Amino acid sequence: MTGNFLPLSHLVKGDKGIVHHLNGGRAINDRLLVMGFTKGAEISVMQNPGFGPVIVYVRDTRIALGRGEANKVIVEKLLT
Amino acid sequence: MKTEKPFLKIALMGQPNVGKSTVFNMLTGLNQHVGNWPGKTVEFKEGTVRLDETPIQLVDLPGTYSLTANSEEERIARDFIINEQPDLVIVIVNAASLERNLYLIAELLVLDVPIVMGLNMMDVADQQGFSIDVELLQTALGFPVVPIVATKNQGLKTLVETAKNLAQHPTCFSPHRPEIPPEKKQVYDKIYSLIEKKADIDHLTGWVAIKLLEGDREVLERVQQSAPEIWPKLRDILINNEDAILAIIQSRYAWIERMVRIALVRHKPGKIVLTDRLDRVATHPFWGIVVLIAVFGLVFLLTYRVATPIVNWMQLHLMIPAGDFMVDALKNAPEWFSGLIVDGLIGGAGSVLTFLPILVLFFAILGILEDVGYLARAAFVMDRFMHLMGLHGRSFLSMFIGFGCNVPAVMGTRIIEDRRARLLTILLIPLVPCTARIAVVAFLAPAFFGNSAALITWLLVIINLATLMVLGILARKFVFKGEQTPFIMEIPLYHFPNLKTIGLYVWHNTYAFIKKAGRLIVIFSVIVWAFSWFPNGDLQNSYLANFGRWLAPLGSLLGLYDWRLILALLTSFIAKENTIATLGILFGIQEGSQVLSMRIASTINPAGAFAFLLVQMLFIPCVATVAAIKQETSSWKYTLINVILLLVISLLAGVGAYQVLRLLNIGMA
Repeated sequence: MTGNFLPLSHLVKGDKGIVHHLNGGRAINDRLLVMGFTKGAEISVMQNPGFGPVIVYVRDTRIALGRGEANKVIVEKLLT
Repeated sequence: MKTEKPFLKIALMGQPNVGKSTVFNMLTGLNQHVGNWPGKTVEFKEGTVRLDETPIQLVDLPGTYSLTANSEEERIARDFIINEQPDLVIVIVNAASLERNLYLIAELLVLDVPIVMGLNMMDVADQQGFSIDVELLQTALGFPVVPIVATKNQGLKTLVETAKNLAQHPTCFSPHRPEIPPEKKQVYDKIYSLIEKKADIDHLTGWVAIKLLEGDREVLERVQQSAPEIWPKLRDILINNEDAILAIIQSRYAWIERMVRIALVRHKPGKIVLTDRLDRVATHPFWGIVVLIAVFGLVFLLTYRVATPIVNWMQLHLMIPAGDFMVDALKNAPEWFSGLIVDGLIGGAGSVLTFLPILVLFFAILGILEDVGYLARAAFVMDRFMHLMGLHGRSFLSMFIGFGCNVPAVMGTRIIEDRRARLLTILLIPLVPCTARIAVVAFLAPAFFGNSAALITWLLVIINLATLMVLGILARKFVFKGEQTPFIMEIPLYHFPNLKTIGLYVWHNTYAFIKKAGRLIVIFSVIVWAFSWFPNGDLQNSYLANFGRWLAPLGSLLGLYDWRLILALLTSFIAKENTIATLGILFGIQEGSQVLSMRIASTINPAGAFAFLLVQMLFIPCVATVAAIKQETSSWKYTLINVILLLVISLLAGVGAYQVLRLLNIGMA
């Protein structure tokens, strides 16, 4: 299960992934970390129309991320 | 050791969407004071709770996810804890997302203030398939955890009693704190010994050291100023540890995972939870917009069906009789005095009063939509469109309300967290054509343009919105530059609205409008009335009319060769619908009649008429909106810039449109 690292925005509805690292600037990373996007956190994608913001489920919370922000979260996609 | 104090100061904290305001409202009821934090636009709420002889001063701190200095709310919350040193902090936690909610507590524990946790929404957690063992959680954390159901007022008394007890025996507070991550422990110790007794917040050395390691800009500046002698050394350490924040936040979440490991059990819910089923539609890229349009359609329908009839009734049965009564009562008084009272004062107060039904309705609907959790979905759906202006979905909500009335729209920008985005949204709202402006256009357009009236009206609305977009993009590019705040927003679970919370929300907002904006509206109205009356006691020869005549050369650029039309524009400053009333007076025909619009149409060619309506649509906001802008931005400078900008834009647009039409020889007959 290596080499399967993708930006969160590339996952589709129903996909799951594990946060590997954050790729954004200081301000975005800080806020993402606080909201629980830390290394190893499990994420499932609730809504991703392919454009605009996405909704993900992380640490028992639904969180909307702008597309730019979702691009900054690099995850390891879980094969289901 | 037992400390007896005359009263206890307890702060209420929590992340957004945990039911914190419900807790505050349940505990204090109407016994609360609402204002703004000094010099800030963030709401300040405090109230008194009495259990026994020792009253408790309860301060409701803004909802925050953490204690960084990223937003005004976070700065206010942490400055309060540091400077005011409350006896205790009650942290309200949403049981349905325990892990993320504990993050705030992980940060608070470094600040060395006693904590009691109110574990809210256990029933919701249950529906989500979570079960929490409160005893185990309490043992793990090392401080009291009280389960509550805020909406049903359950457990709140126990919560306050527990808090009071601990606040009076602060030495009993010995929580299990998150540790410094081992790989950063050495650096932390170095920083600690460096700043010890140097920084001016010496009772918080541990906290300052961690915040320095996190790279917190505010704390950095503070230390740099108060202890410049250690700064070079400190800076070297920090530059080599720029990644420390990652390790620190990581370790806080690791601590959280340890805390909940035994206490929280997640069962797989048998069926898909209601929230997710509703969201399949509400956040769908297409159906979500359909739902949004339907919701707002309903809002406007309610305004027209409920609020407008009340406004009309008030006009007919309150304002007009009050005016008549005063005319009668003042028939022996000088004419200017009765004019001042009837047209200035009662007229001004009347426009405050007539806004009330609309405001109450809007605030009630906004409060319900927010409390239910729908606003977050609406913001999500609109986000991609607002990105063009560098704004987020939340700004759209305020702007949309502006179609009904700009005043609640400006006040509604409170839901926007980022100050820059909020100021930009306020700047743009007056370009959203409100019902009053549309009404003026709807009255005049048929006489001006005959069969094309609907098309022209539609065109005018489009021009307004296009101007809004262009101004937004330009402002974003040149004025509100800098990094955009990231769009990271919690989508809360849907839940039933709490009537008390919404009732208080409506009450506080309406009261704030009457108290602050209301006074300004009355003053403005009296001033404008004075200009329209003096020196001779009639509008035709007043200062305002002279001003209109003086502006005639400008008017001719607009195709407005009749000064009366310019004057009508000027009086629309009091209230947009005044345009018609003024024209009625100036043309000597009762307002609302078809004859009036035909007479006006005969004085102007279609190109001029178009320019006139264009200026009317883009013109400076009405007095009430200006007052609301002043109230919400707390800045006269900003308010003035806003008004002047719109004045310039509207006149340029009018002149531009007329000159282009003239060159093309369209509508010049």
